[in-house]
Amino acid sequence: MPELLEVKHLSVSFFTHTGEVQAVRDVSFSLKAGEVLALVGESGCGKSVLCKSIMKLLPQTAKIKSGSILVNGADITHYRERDMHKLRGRLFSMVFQDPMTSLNPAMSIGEQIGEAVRVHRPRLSREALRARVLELMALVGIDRPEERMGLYPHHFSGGMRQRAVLAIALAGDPAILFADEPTTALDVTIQAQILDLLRDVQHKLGTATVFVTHDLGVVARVADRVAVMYAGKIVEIGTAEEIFYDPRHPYTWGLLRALPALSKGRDTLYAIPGMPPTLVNPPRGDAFACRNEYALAIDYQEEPPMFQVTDTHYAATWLLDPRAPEVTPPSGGGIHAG
Amino acid sequence: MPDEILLDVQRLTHRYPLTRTMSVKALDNLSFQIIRGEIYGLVGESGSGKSTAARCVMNLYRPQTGKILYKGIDTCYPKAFRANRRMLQASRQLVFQDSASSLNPRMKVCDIIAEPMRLQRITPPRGTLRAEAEFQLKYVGMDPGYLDKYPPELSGGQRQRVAIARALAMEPELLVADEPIASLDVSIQAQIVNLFKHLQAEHGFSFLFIAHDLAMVEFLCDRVGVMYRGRLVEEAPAAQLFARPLHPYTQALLSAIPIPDPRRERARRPLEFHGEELPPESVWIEASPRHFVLKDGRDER
Repeated sequence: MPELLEVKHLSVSFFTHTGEVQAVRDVSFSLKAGEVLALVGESGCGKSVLCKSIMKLLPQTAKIKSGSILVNGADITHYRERDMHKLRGRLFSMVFQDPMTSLNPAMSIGEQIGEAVRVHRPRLSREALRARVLELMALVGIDRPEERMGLYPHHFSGGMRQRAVLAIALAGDPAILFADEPTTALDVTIQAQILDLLRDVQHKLGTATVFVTHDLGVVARVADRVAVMYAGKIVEIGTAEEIFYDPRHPYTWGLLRALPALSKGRDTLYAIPGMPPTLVNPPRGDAFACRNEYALAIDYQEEPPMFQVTDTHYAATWLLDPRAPEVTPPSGGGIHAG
Repeated sequence: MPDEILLDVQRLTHRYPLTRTMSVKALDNLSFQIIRGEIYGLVGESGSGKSTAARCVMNLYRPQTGKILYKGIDTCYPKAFRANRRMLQASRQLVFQDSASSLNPRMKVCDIIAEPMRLQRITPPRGTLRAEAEFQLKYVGMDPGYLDKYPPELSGGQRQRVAIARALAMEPELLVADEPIASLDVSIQAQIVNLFKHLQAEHGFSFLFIAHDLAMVEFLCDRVGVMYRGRLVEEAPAAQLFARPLHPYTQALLSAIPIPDPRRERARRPLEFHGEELPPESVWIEASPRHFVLKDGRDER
């Protein structure tokens, strides 16, 4: 299957008065059509910046330092704003975390979805536009769309707002959808509905999705593949099964062990010690070394390369080096398949 | 010795006025009790009235009807409140959800932590207010180097720790935490929950923990109350509630927690709860010892 999106050795930095913040450091991954890739990591690890840099939605202070972004084989790394404008919404589209701030409070939901449709198809007649808006609202599971298209965002609950945002994102039939923590602001019950909706829509339209989240439970529900990010780098990437049942990176072990569901009956929850490093001056060697109880001497010296585990599973840890000592993952560090 | 009831909430009803004639009933005859030294969890979806309950308990809102007895004092009765104001304000503390907006961005960490002591005119047991702030900061696991920082310079987890340190500086007997971990990362959440557990074991304060993350509630709390539309639909010891939920709403809520296991998670279908309105003639029955559930009164006949 051809790669829809390919990111090669991408590095993105913010130039602020405190210095250069290396938000994304040498990230490579690819996305096939119709696939769901989850980006997991703590806040500040560069998940959102990675998505926004692909869509070129970053502020002026950010710069792509190196690397390339290929979409359908075409290099869009150096596209100007005018060219990007044509791609946004049609090729890729984004759903943000907080639906209240991404909707206009002074416009009705129907108008807002209609606006998104008109941007892509300006010549649409009024009836056709209305039909398309109703179709989109039905697609994202808003019941009785005729009644509801005249309502304003404040009439909607959080889950309904997120559905409306999704309808806007899907207005241009994008090939890739970036969902940046779309369910973080929602309740568990609503979250489950929205996740099912996303999967459903993704099956119907075949949209490839990059799903940014910090909740591994959510990942288990929606993702085909998972990329774990730490301090601006992808430290482990593989299929969902590989990441959950056979994780190789100590950081992934830590994330899985920190889940309360896996600490049942224990006295304390496992917490990864320490804090993520600042990205102004990333530490030498492996950025995770100082929080890593399995760190080897070389972790403080040199950054580990990506070691291949299987055809689809890669991890950046020196533990996979043939010279490394044998380490058994901690209990709870991987979920036993069964 | 029977368990001493520290907080007794009785048939609390709170309405938010919309217009002159319309109002939203946020709390509807809510009753629960917190025993001294226990961690009580209140869960439910947003809009179920959890935060309103917390704010009523802390006297931030005045409920229309009902009583809140704290150590036997009716805190909603102005005269009783005024007579015991100092004790009430010092021994009950609140931690808010969003630490970015609940800490004054223009105050240094040491001033924030020492502020309640200053306001209550308590002589700091460790000499100076600053020494006291330093002690509390160390207590929640932060370096004293942060004393002279301002809240915007801290990360979310650090700010939440400062908010907790501020609440604990008064050595409260009742700590109310309104979704204290919702805005934090998973790994930081684990740190904060461990901190709560550790502090509670050491201080022995009673703890009203409000959350919508059920997995954390199961881990932390002794007893859990499930709220739906301003009413308590089920209440039980945590282990029992999670093992054997009785009310359909609790069952739906529990089934919505994603399991971090791709094969099991994908095969699973969350239950849905369509009981839009709880029937008014519902009755509160004890299904098994200490396990209470709201049953439709009509079923009983």
